[in-house]
Amino acid sequence: MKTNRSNARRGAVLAGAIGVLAAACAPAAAPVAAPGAATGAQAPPPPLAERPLQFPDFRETRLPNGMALIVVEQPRQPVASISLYIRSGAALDPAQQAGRAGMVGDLLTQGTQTRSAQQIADAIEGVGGRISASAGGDWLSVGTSVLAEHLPLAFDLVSDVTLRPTFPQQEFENIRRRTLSALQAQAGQAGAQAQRRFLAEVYGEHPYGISPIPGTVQGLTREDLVSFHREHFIPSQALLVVSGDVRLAEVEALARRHFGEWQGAPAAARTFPTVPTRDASRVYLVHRPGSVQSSIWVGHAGITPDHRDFFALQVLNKILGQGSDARLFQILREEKGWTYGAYSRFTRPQDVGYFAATAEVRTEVTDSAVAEIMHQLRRLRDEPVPAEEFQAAVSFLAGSFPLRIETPAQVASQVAQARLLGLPVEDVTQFRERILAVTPADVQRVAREHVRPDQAAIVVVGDATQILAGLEPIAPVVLYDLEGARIERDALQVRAAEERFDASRLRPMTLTFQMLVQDNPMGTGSYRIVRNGGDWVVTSTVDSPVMRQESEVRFGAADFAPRSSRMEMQQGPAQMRSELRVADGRVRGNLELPPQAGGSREVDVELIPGMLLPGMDQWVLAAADLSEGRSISLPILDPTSGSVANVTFRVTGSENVTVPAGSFPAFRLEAAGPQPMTLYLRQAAPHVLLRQDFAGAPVSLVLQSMEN
Amino acid sequence: MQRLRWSRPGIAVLLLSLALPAAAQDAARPGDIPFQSYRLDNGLHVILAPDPTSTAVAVNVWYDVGSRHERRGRSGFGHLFEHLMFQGSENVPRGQHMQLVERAGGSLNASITEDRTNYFQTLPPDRYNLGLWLESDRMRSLRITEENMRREVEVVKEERRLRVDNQPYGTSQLQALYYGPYDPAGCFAYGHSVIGSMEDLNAAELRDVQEFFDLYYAPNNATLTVVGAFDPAEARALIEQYFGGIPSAPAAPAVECENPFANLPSRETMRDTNARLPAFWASYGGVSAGHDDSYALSLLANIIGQGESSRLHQRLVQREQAAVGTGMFGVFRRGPGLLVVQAVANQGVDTDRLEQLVDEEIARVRSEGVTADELEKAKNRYRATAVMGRQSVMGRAEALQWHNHFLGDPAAIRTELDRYMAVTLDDIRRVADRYLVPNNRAVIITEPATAAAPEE
Repeated sequence: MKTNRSNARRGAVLAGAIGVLAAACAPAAAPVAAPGAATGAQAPPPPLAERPLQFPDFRETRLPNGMALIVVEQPRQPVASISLYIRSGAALDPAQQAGRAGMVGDLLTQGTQTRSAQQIADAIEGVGGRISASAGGDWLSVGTSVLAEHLPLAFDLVSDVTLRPTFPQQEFENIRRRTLSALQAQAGQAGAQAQRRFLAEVYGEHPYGISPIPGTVQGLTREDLVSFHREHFIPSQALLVVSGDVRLAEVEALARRHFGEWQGAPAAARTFPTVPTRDASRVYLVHRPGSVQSSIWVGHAGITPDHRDFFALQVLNKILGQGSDARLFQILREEKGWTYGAYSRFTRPQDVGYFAATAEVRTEVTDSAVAEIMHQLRRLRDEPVPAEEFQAAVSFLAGSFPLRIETPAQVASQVAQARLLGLPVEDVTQFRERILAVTPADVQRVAREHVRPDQAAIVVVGDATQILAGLEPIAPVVLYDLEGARIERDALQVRAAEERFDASRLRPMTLTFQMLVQDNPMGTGSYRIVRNGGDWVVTSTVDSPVMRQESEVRFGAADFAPRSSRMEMQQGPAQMRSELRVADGRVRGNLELPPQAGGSREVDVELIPGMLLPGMDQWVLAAADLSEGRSISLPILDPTSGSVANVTFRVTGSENVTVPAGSFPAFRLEAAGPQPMTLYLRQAAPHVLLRQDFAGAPVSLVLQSMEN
Repeated sequence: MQRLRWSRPGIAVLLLSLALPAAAQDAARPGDIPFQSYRLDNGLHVILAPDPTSTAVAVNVWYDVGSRHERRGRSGFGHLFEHLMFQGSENVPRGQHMQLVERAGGSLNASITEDRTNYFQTLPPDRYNLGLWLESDRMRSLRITEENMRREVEVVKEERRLRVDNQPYGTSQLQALYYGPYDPAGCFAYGHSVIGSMEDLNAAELRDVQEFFDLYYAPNNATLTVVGAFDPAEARALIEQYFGGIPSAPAAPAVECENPFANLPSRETMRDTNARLPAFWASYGGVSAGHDDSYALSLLANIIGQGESSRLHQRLVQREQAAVGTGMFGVFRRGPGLLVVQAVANQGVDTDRLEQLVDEEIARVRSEGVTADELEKAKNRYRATAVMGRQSVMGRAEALQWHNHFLGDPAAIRTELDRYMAVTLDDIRRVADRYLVPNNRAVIITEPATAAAPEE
């Protein structure tokens, strides 16, 4: 039922401006249905007369030292932006130094010959501006935005951080720690794992296939960054882009003053190795034990940036997987309800890009989702695109383009992209016209040429024990573990612990911890272990703004035989509880989890030798024989999935650790798996936990006191 | 740039050519946004800011309705409408508004505050007519049905749970912004929250909702602003065609806020099961947007409590390590606003200590003032934020609407920044001494609740 304001008010409406009566519930009509459709509802107005889109003016010039300059003079608002690009990025990192360019980018604003990191931040904040620097695959960039009157300061800062960064050792250590922590966190994320595996399979030894790993980042030295800077930060490789309320003459004068003295030998011509070709599809399945979701990447190598089919592929991609209006989203999410989102993309880096269709789906529909994605790729090749769907895609791409060149900085960035990719500027200035020239026949032709479901890398990250059988009919399966090593099928079985640990080495004690968030104390934790008859009983509480946890776990006082475990946790509004009990060679109990983590479930699994309940691992490690290089694999029941998986703790080093409770020689242990972390245990037995760092978040637990 | 206002279309056509000079090519001034302003016969206020150098068009409607217009027992209606306006109208089925705009390559959104509700879309130049048509259709014929209302009431309630009830400090923040400083007897308008109460939302009846729509979602209570690459003559014709026939409504009743701060000083302790650290809040009675003192107060809040170089951060976080976070911000409204200080305690620090430190810092500003350097930085930061926001057509549309709505005239956009730049060190010290006084504030203490069981 529809309610109008009132009859009197409707009567005053201009004749013809609205329909007479709307149907109770108009069908989801096509956007440009003919006026006066059967429902009586009025159709939206058709587009106005096409207005020729004038791509805003820009100027290009070059300094005598070879630095290129693009200037967009657009004095609409008194704002000026500078972006400086260096045509060197992560693709230049040798495999054993992967991560080097990224750290160069992060460190540029962290100190120069005349300014500390704090001074750089103060200088830009004092004028209400921003500065940032980062590295991508093919180039590094430094960007800043200020009020136009502060353009000289912006030039001063951008040139200072670009030409005279000092990569201070202290900041280098900080950034490396942050990078390692981010990598560790990524290792726990299915989506990030899927992307890494996909790039490795599609690109092989080509630099686009190589991603940083903790080992390569750990091996980097400050000197590596300094030499990258010396080698690649040269004027012939630089593109300076200035936009906003600026004048060409002023920009040129400032550029000469700040960059005119910059010298460097021209860079050697850059060549890329070829991208491997694929003759058949294959499933690359990364085993993520206990995963309740699977992350899917399906695709293969794409096109070089100058390929003439680029625009037709933009239309194809919009139809297939760009946004909520596209096929993958509509089918996988709206129709099937398998996922929150499903998308596709054709990337456009300097060398060969890739094509990928991606989705994160519930574990139980993994094979159906992969099969549906494959079907949608074939459908693009086999069936012409219906006219209405084609038209919607073209009008979206042509219509949204003007919104992407609204501000001077956006205009400048479009021109810079073309130049960095070595393309004629018409590639961006004529974007709309080129999209409008694409025909439905073009879309099918490019689908047949550039979408190859029978030569695809099908990467799935999920619990292989649950999804392997369903994926095998789709294509031959290659298995990997989370560390990126090939594994065989039998490795999917949970392995019993290889050794027995002696629980009589433990002593009754109470450990209290501080929780640090960005090095500020933000909470407390305590662990109390006491004897109760033939058992050890550990009770713990962690209380902080980040999370609150209470638990009790019981196990045999001599042999770590698990008895029971109870845990309650609250993180923000999300709560979870678990209760587990061992009897008759099985672990039974239940998990209460928030709906987004899969809801509540019963647990009933076989107790295999050496298996641990949640909360026991810390005490097994305390009683273990530790030494550098040792690795201990423990089958642990995961309280968020109810499944059992081996977690490997590797002793990666020994160092002195200082915590509020004192300074101790300690072992550093890395735990891989869905919840990666770093532990520091006291070298003296029992190996008490001194410090625990949570991957990817600036959160740590540090030992405050130890009492008997 | 001369300012033009019309009340009658005949004159408007005559003056149109005068309103369209070439875009200024000399140094840009942030307020230099040429515009025309006029009213339709039904009272719809229209602001057109054609700019041939733009590549897009913003279609932006502000309704003069916010939570300040809600009656007792009917709080949350304004917010409910922000949702209902996407639930379909005579010619636009539910969900189509968004799809039509997206398929045209555009983007859209809506929001509500105490003082106004806005609806906006950015579109390519040949499709701004779609934005006008969509806005006119829902202004004229929103589908207010029992089913739509019940569904959106649930959505709003869920939003409240997510954004207030389950957020650490969520209820304290409502106390600091509304219930603490304002006397509900003297100013219900600001003495209740935008998000609405569960009871009032549950009690909503279709009849009340329809009444609210008829009164506030009328053309004579709205301002339509169009900014960007369009032909103003064409826009005027389209606006007349789409909006001209929508009947006006009787003028909405005046909002009363006679005696806002009669309760001050006050003090309240909030128990918060989501918070893990105590917090201290001080909410000082302030002034409306455009008040002579509002400029100095805004810069003062910036100096005391915004960014890492601010007084509170330097003292409480850096030097004393008594707080993990601090902030101060000015709230300037159609009616009397606030100045709100917040500090979250570090582990082991109690709120008495926070209060003492905040009071010391405020006393220092009252007696010694701030430095010229601090004032300069605050001005730079204020201006940069304002100006950078105006680079897009939507940013300019919002700026025109803001000046029109809060200062009564869109032309104020040309002079408003100058008023910030004119603030002196004496002004800062004077307003600190006048407003940041103990008798003029509500103190709110957040105590983490120790009970383990959270409320259901």
